[in-house]
Amino acid sequence: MTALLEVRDVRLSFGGLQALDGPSLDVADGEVVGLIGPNGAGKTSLFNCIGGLYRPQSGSIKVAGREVTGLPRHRIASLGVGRTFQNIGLLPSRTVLENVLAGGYHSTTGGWWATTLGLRRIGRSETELSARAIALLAELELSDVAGRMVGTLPFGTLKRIELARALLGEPRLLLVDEPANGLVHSEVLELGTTLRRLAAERGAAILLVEHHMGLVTSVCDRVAVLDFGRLIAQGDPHEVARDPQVVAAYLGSAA
Amino acid sequence: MSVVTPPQAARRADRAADGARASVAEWLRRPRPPLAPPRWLAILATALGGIALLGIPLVNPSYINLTVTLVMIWTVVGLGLNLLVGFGGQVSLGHSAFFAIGAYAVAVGGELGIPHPATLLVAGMLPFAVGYVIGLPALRLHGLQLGLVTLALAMATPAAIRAFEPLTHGSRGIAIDADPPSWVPLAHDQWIYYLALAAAVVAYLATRRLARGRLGRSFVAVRDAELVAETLGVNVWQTKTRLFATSAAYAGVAGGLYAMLLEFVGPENFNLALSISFVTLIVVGGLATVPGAVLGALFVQYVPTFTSSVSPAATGAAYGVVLIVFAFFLPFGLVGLARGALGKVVDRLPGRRG
Repeated sequence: MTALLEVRDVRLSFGGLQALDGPSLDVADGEVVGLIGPNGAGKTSLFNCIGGLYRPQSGSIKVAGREVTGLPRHRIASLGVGRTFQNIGLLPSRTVLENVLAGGYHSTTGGWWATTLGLRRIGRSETELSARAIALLAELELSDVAGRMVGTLPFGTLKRIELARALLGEPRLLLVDEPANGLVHSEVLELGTTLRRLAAERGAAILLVEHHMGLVTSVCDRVAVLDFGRLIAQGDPHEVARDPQVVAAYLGSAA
Repeated sequence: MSVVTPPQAARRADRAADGARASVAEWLRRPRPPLAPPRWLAILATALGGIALLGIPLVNPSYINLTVTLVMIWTVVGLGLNLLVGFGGQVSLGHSAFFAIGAYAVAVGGELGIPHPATLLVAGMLPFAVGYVIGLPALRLHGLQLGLVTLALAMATPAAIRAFEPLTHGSRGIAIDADPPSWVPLAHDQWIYYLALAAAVVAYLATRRLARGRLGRSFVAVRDAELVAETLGVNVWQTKTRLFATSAAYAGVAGGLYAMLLEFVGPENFNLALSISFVTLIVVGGLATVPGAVLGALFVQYVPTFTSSVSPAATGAAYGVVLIVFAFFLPFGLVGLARGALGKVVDRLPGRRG
């Protein structure tokens, strides 16, 4: 079986800075993979390459066997890649519910003519989407804020709203960037459990960037470690955490 | 049965969030969800409004019908322009050009012997095509640059009309005979009134549908965060060009009606001031609101009549002051003000909603 996500020898540099130095990585259907590494290791850069925000100078990235480097960004989304952003990509002028509904764009239909003419299926699809969005908000404990404007809410809540939005698009591959940011310890583990369950119910694979090692080890099937744009280890979360190279990358080597 | 609609919930949360601490300026600037009237009120208001709109031309002298028809024409322009500027976030100062294309489509079509209501279709389609072609390169530009390109479009329009003299008869303009067909027992002003009413109602309903739901959310995503929109699967560039072309079509139909109403077109009808009044319209009515186009249209029709009775220069000054005041204090226009003032009252009304 081919992997859902296949990253091969991706190289990306900004001027003289080598952000990604040829890492290769696979994510299978339904698998939850953690992507960890010190700040500046290239985790978010790799996310941005997969999502089409950056175009790597060389290497290949395939989603479900389809090359995505060079593909327009909106086409990548329709291949089933959903994501959340490290610094929040919500629409501040809209309510929480409307933000989540925006995640249903590529998984629903309704062109300009059909919408203008008010075809019945447009209304049905909207009703069905709203019901799913409201259910997702409940599962992520966001029902209380559903009608609030996004601009006024705390960071941890915004992270979960983004997650709900990404999940509403029924992604096959969900890229999650630091979901635990802004949460207290008890909330982090709870979020991990919910995330894992929601993804499993939908058969979505997750690639997770996270600094919170408790979340990574409890949620991920496998962990990949990036350092200076290179993949230095991957495997079982507990074993990787003991890998001397990984420890050195995080704490600085004794050399 | 008490079902809480999302707008009601939003207002409750909004009140709970800050109690009475907000200053007046903050209160005015706050984004608010649309009013959520109970169904009986919506039906009642629509019925009364409908009867009034249908009855106006039958009981009024023709000069009243003329100004109300103009309000409906400005409404059509405002609905389209607000889709582009308010919802889509793409500035255009050039919509007087599309308005002119629509007007001349009707005028030239009439000269070629095409019957008049049919020329209105051309008045929509031609600006759509032109808007699409202009939009292809122009929408690669952002903000100020797009504003400048469309400004140039508006400034070039009167000169362009004069330059195409064989078609447009240059400065002499074209007289139009837009009397109703023989089977319609209406005077000219009543006939154009009903045509404009039909166009405004169709435009209103179409805009409301486009602005809500899946497409409406994609417009706002394009406006607020292009990258995020793309990540959600929105083809940003296609969305922008279609918005531009669609809003140009609205302006074109309105221009066609304008030509039929005045029964004359000349280059000076379509100057930069017209474009500025379109922008004023959507800002005053409320950016990214659908009913805002109606309130804005009333403003641009009746306020200049009032100010010019004070002094001929007063209109320009009034627009300037109004634009500044609204930009600072009322970013959601008169509709935003109405939502703030009436939201609580409307929410308390009993009855089924949605």
